[in-house]
Amino acid sequence: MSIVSVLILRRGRAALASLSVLLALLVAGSAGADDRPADFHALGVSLGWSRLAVLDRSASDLTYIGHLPTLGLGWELRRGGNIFAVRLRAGILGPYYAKQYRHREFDLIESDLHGTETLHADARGVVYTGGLSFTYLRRLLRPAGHRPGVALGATLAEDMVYPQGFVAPGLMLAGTLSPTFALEQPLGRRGLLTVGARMPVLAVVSRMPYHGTVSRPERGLLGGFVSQRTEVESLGRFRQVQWSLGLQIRLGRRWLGGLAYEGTYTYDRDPRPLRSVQHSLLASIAFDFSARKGD
Amino acid sequence: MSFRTLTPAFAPLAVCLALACDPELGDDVSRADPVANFERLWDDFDRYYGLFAVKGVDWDALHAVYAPQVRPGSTRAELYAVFADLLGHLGDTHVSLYPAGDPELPVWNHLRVDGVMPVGNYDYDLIRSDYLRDHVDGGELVEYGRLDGDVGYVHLKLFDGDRREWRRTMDDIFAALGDAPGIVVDVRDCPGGLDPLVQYVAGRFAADRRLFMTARKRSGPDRDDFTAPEAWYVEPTDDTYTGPVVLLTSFLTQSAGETFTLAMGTQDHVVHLGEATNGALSDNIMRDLPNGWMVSISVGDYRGPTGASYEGVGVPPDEEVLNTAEEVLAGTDRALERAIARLSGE
Repeated sequence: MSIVSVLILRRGRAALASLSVLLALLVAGSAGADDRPADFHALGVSLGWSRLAVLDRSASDLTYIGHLPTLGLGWELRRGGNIFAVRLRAGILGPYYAKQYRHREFDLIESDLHGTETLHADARGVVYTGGLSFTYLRRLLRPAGHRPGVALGATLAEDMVYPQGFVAPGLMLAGTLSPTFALEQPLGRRGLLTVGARMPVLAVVSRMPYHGTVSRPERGLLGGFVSQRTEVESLGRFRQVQWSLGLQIRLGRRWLGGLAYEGTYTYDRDPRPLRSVQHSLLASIAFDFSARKGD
Repeated sequence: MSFRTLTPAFAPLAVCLALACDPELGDDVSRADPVANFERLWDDFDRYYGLFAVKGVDWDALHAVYAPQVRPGSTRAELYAVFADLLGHLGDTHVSLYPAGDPELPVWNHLRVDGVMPVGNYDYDLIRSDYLRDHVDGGELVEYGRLDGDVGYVHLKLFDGDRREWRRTMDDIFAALGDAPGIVVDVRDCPGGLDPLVQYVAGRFAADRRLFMTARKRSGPDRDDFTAPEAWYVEPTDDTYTGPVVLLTSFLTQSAGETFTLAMGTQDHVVHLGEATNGALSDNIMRDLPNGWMVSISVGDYRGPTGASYEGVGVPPDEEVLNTAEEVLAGTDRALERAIARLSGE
């Protein structure tokens, strides 16, 4: 895991591909076992890395890249025909820069009666991301033995991208309601592979207004931002696809270890088009409250 | 487990592998082409600049003049010179060019000479050493103390932070200076900040509710696409100081420093002394150019309470008092001394 983490941090896309291959090998290596570890009630934390790419024409015609250490907290109940999940995710203080100009700098000369002073400025910024989601899924086909399970349901989520810097593309708050699909594939006695996808059908989106400023009478920055341009949008204006691939391994009677890849593509049309793609790699550890005897 | 059984798991995995590649987001601009950079800069101003009418600038005519001066083979220094000439017609301190990545090219705006802003005839160190006692350093936002005759002095440096922080700061200031026979409020080197904080701080000096500004901003790509004008009022807020106040400004008073000047100017107990402000009131945004340079653009059309625009001309004082560099270097701040005299009844 630590080697994979280092690769992720240093190699970016290459590491994403490497991790995917690793997941595939783990899947293949687990084949042949015979148990069903698909039900649990767990609370866990995750740690990982995210890469965010944003082209927000309302702020810039350049693509911006952010790299974010990412923390997560999750609660999940998989029992019988139901799956409930609550997830909190935060990408913290990642560097944020124009893709083609990672190290843009300039000098600003300030002067007063006593002389001049040169201030060195770096045109990079920082970016934060965050999200809170509530998911309910109904198992249409319960996983059993080697047979995969299929579940359908819905997710209510609120996601945020908050950049700061000289140029700050991507600023957005989006509350979404999404039909959600999940596939569960038991892998032997200890493993569970999950594949998920969701796509919002309704969103409440806050973005900067056309003029790109937030100043309004008697309002702070957040109030000015939200009050100027928060709109209910459907697929014609706001499109998002989120997908995930996760592997959970039972480490003992009470503990679950996990590895997950998550991706999000977002498009929002107004006031000028925004497109973003976020990839996240996360390692997790979770405590299982419902550990079965004999495991 | 058979391959067929694993297929449902591997199929999404393959999709994820494909999506793990950095997607092409449509960022297809021609980065180094001088002509493309010129057109992008011209177009960004065309889409966002809010003061063409106020400044009487024919942007199309300027395109006809300057576009032919940019050729595919133009150097970055030549392109910089054309941009400076073009943007110079706007006479707007909120319009700056940041040639990031080209260290030999200085930051440009219409006031800077070889990247250096003109020097203001103002020196806060002089005030602190020769005029001020009971000095309190309030950090990046404010400093205050007492002048001769027990007159209060408040140096507002930047309208940043949040309202809660400013409430605490203003409470501290009024606890220290509330019994003063008058207060000098000095924004002579205030570069700006946030207008809602201006509204709050001015409200702490307000005796009456008054309109101090209307602001409309670009709402679309056509040059007459504007939001409806939004009215900004100043009104008594929390505990107020409504004794005599002298507001000091200079040409270094910019942006939110100027909207503060408008707000304070509506109050009958406030006298405005010094120099006219800079004349750059509107909010501005930063845009990237394909070659990595950045440019700031004024997006609004801000007017005073009578509907007058002060863009490019500044808010004029009630009484003009101009320091000279020689006086200040010799240890005299004539504008401040005039303010003290007015508040001391001399």
